[in-house]
Amino acid sequence: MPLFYNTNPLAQRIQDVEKDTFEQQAIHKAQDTIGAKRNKLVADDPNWEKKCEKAASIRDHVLDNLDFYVKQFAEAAIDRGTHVHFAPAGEDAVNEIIDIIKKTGEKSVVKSKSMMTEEIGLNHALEAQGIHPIETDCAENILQTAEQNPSHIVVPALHLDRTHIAEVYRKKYGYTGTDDPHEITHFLRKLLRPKFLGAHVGITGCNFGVAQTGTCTLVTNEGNARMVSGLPETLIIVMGIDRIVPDLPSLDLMNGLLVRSAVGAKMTSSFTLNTGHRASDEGDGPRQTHIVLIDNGRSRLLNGPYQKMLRCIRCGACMNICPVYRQITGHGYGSIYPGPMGIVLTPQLDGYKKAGELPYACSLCGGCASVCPMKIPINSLILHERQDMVAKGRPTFIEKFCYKTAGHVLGNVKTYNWATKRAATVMKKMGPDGRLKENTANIPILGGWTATRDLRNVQASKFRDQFAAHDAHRKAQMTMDISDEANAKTKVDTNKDGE
Amino acid sequence: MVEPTLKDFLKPISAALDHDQIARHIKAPDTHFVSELEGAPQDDLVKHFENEASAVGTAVAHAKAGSIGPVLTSMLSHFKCTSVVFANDKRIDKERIPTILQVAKIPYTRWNAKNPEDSRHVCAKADAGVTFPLAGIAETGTVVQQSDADCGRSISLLPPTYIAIVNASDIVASLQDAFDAVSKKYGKDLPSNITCITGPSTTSDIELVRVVGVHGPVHTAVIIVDDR
Repeated sequence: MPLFYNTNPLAQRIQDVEKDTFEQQAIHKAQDTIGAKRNKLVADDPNWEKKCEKAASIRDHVLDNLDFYVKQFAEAAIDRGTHVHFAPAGEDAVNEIIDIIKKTGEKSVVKSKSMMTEEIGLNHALEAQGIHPIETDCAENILQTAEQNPSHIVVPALHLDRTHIAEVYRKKYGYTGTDDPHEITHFLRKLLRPKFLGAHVGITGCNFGVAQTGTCTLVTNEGNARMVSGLPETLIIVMGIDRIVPDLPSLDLMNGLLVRSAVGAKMTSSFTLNTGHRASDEGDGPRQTHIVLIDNGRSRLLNGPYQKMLRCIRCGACMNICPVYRQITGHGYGSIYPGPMGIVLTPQLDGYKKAGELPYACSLCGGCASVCPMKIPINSLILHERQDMVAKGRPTFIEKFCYKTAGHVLGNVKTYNWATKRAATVMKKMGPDGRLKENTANIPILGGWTATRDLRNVQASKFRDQFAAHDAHRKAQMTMDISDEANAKTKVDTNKDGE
Repeated sequence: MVEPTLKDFLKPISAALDHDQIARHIKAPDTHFVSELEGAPQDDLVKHFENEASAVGTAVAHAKAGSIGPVLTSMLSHFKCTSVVFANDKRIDKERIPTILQVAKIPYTRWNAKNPEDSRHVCAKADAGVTFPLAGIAETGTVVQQSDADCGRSISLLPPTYIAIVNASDIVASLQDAFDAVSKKYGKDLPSNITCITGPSTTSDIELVRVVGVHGPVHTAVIIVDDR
């Protein structure tokens, strides 16, 4: 499963990101800008929490009865003449989509942004079959043209600056304009318009599937998804089984929470509902519509601790608040699902063997859970993943031995006192000015810390010692003659070694 | 390649949920959420709609029933549109819009579903598209446009300027209320496409710089028809 676009170790990926200060600043800006817009809308809405709770309960209801809802959705869609394809795994979906396109005889397709198509690695598979997928979302087109990977789930090309982007279009498509984002965007409008008008097959994702009506929705600002789903004769909608909502009214709640959380707006410029294919008396719209419904490991998460993760609506709010994401950006995670939600989802879909490092790229601060519009306890699920790995025997023999020894030493007063005294003496020698610095970086284990930051020395005088001294001092003062009270104002016990 | 059937596909889902069989009927939860604007007087809804639409960059104008034509022509000249395509709607003839456009020397075309290639070609070339959405949403300044034989989806999508003509009485509080209006008109059998349009197409994909006018409309406008 191609969830990872970069399979280097986590540490390597992070080191690579650290070199790119533009990328880091771009992510800071995205977090600050989108986060502030979102926060303002949330602050202005007295019912925000209630809405989130209600939405979460609707999502849970659907997941608890997912067999019923998948069936209802599929049957409603079939009823409207949509060809519904069922894909237990990503490869099945890829094969089914290739099959549909081959039957049309087309060699290129237009696409709008879809995480699901990325999850199943559709673009590479299509290229291998000689079918060229044209990404039409601006950022996705930039990434495709520049042969780059996404750094954010909502604004994925943020790590590339305008000069780089202009240069890429200059080289590949003869762009002659300036670096101005307006000019580049208008060039993209001109570049892609004939592709839309000439396309015979369109591929879209789906934000929500409405079980009662077999409707698939698209949430976009650029209008490209309207083109992709409305102009070609054949429309292929690719969606996970976890996109389903019960009925039309649920869309108000879900879409409202999605857009506010994702981009800090009340509504995107277009919210499109596609149901079936064009009616016999209609002049445009797809003549045939296919929905590819994909499981790809989702059903495994039902009825277990990670079922709540399937509430996720891919808004990206969790990454816009995450302090780790802020530093390591989407590229640090290496997965198409980055940030806190990706830390939960990637190992659950791809296994701990490939993705076992990710749950450790988290401080468990819980910022993600506090902004999640679907109330997913993301940080708790990340902790749960760590526990899973321990239960599955992830710690090595040496790690286990070290923890066991530490447990013995720290769990006994005598050994604890002995060890901390020794540590204070040794550290004082190693770091005479109270800190172990970079010069200790080549010492195994310790260097893991001191290579990048100082470690404060363990103090010879411990809290218990200081407390005992303070207590003795206080008692001595209390016994003093009351007439001397004015002179007996407590002096704060200053301890030279104290922090 | 043999594709799995729905029955096969559902098996692991039911198994994971410990369901011996799939329920025949499930009572859907109440998915309705009371909008802050619910129950507000129609005048307030219209005012709110106007404010929200302006906030996302949609130009708003008012017209009295019977005098849409002049408002439309001045809107078209404001956006420097020299050609226009519009959806079939009985208001077009009732308001004598063809005559008024002729006088204003603005070439116009009606959507003709029986000649789809030409109709789409016209949309791709026209400066403006005009449709008659079935509802406006006060909360977000959105218009809700259905596609059918009289109104192709290209009209509100391909021309650089999009103008919606909405009755004041069709402006509702929320998306839910708009869907209620849709359901009232179509039942469970929805039009093949419903698009909720809120302002011009935009992107912030390059360095988060907001650019208006990407693939969809560059300018959007609403004419509110005071029909009460």
